[in-house]
Amino acid sequence: MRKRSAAQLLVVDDERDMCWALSRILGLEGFGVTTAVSARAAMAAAEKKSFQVAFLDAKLPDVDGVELARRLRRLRPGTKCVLISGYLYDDDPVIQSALKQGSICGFISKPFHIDEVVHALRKALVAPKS
Amino acid sequence: MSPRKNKAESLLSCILDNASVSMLCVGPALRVVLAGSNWRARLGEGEDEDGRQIHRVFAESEQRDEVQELLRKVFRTGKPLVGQRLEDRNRHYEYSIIPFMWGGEVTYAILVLRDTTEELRLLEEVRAVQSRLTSIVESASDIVISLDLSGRIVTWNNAARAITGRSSREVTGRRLADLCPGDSREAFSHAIAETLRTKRVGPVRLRLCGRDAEVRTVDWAFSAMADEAGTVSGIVAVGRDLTEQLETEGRLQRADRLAALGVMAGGIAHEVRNPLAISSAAAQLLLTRPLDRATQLECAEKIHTGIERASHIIESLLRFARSSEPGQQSVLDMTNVIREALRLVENQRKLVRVKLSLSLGRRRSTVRGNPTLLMQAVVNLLLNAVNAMPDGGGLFVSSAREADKVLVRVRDTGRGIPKDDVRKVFDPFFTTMRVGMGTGLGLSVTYAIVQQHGGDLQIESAEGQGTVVTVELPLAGEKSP
Ligand SMILES: Nc1ncnc2c1ncn2[C@@H]1O[C@H](COP(=O)(O)OP(=O)(O)O)[C@@H](O)[C@H]1O
Ligand SMILES: [Mg+2]
Repeated sequence: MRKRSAAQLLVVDDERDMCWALSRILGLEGFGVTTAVSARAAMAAAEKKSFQVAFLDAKLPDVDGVELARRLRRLRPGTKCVLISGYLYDDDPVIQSALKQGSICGFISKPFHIDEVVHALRKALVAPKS
Repeated sequence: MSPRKNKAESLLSCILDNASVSMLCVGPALRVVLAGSNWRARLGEGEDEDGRQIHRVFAESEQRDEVQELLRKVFRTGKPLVGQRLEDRNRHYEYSIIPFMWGGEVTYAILVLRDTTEELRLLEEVRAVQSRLTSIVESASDIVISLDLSGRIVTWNNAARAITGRSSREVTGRRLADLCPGDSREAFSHAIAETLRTKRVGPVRLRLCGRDAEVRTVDWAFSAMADEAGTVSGIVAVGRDLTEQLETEGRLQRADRLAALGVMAGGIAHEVRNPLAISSAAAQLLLTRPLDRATQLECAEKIHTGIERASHIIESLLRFARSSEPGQQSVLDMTNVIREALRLVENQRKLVRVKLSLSLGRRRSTVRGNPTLLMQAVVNLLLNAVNAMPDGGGLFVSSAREADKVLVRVRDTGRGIPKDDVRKVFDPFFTTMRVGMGTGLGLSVTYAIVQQHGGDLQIESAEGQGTVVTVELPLAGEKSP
């Protein structure tokens, strides 16, 4: 992991404390973390810099998480997206089809175990670029 | 003719001329001997009945044979006949035939005719009025019944029959109270006694035994029936069957609650899971990661705020679930409710760069109600306004006192509501938001809450220009607790 420590991650959640929690967890793994509280802010950040993995809240005030994943990947095709939601379940058709289409590569429901986050991150980092 | 007979005849003609009835004196050959001036008055000029056959006198009447027959009978028997009816030349008469005896035999028969045309016309009018009144009472959908002074049923209309399943014959003479379930009987008797005392009682909600042992809920109005002299002769009871209406209202209220709970449940999933996730993540960090003292404190703090937030949400849910209990009501200032609601939507508002203009009246806008519910109502309106302005805009929130009302207004410069949708926005589940974003219950719940508080809600919108929602709530007195 250490040699990948240059990897940049993006956390998008309209809940500031949620951004705090995720950036702590990911920061402790040795990654640089940028946070955004809306899809608009996320896109602005992605314009400036490329992220290997983005953790996206499914329910954002402006654009929903799945749509944001598509837009991010249109802008930066290499970015892997993990969806986090307190609203949807992983058997939700929206999640299932997003996974199948590859716009997201993982799903975590809130509340989560921090190991789930770390695990999803590792999986995303080793996933083949599509 | 003998002089005595002459004297008698002139006496007769005097009577015939001066009576208020018409009289014809008829001889044994059934010819008119003398006609009173009243009768002559109906003749045309130059006409004279004297000497005419009775059959010809009533030539135009269908009863001419009958008159002739009866006259013959009187001559034969010497017995008077009374109360006969006759229609002639469009006038109605009641007539009697009185034999005039002279020397042991019937010399004349006197036909006494009373013109009843006017009387019959009046009677007809009275009947028409009566039947109109009856048909009003009979076709009314409300129970209309009359009672005597002891509360016994005198008349009973169709509606009463339909609702109770009892015919007029079955109930006439029975006490109305006897047709009520036990718990309403005393109240019924009391209402009737009160009506006799105060002339008017009601509306009182009392139960009545309906068809098939069903109990109906009826709103009654009792009034004393008084004659011209003011003497009370009975009681009129008018009752409206509210059973179905009350059932529907109950169902609607339950549906409102369910819809509202649905919103809460949807909101809860999202709202509670966030603070739970934050607290849980912070706790796990504390447990599994080596952290410096400052980060440890930070984690503890996040756990604390997370738990507080979650329990606050649970609390409002509980409060909401119990909101129908009157105990939850208090007198509160709507300006505080608005401030609080604005704090809750502040994040969303700033995110989409909506500029807020706040104008809260200087006078206290006190209303009586449930603070959590009223706040939810305002939050729903604010969220709708913010959601209508994804590219920014102006949000104008005001509260003002107007007469005995508090007006809360939420105006936005957003996309507005298309004409066709204006009626639908209050429908539960009507939403134009993307799947998963809007429940479509916001306005229906808000409307239910406002109504529950005795208020009203109006929405005005122009597509592409914006929307104004005005909530009117009854002003509560400052002194009330
Ligand atoms: N201020 C507003 N401006 C424009 N449209 C509105 C506004 N308020 C409500 N609406 C319309 O009414 C619909 C129903 O609103 P609501 O009952 O609050 O449910 P929801 O917000 O979940 O869609 C909204 O989807 C929207 O189309
Ligand atoms: Mg809404």
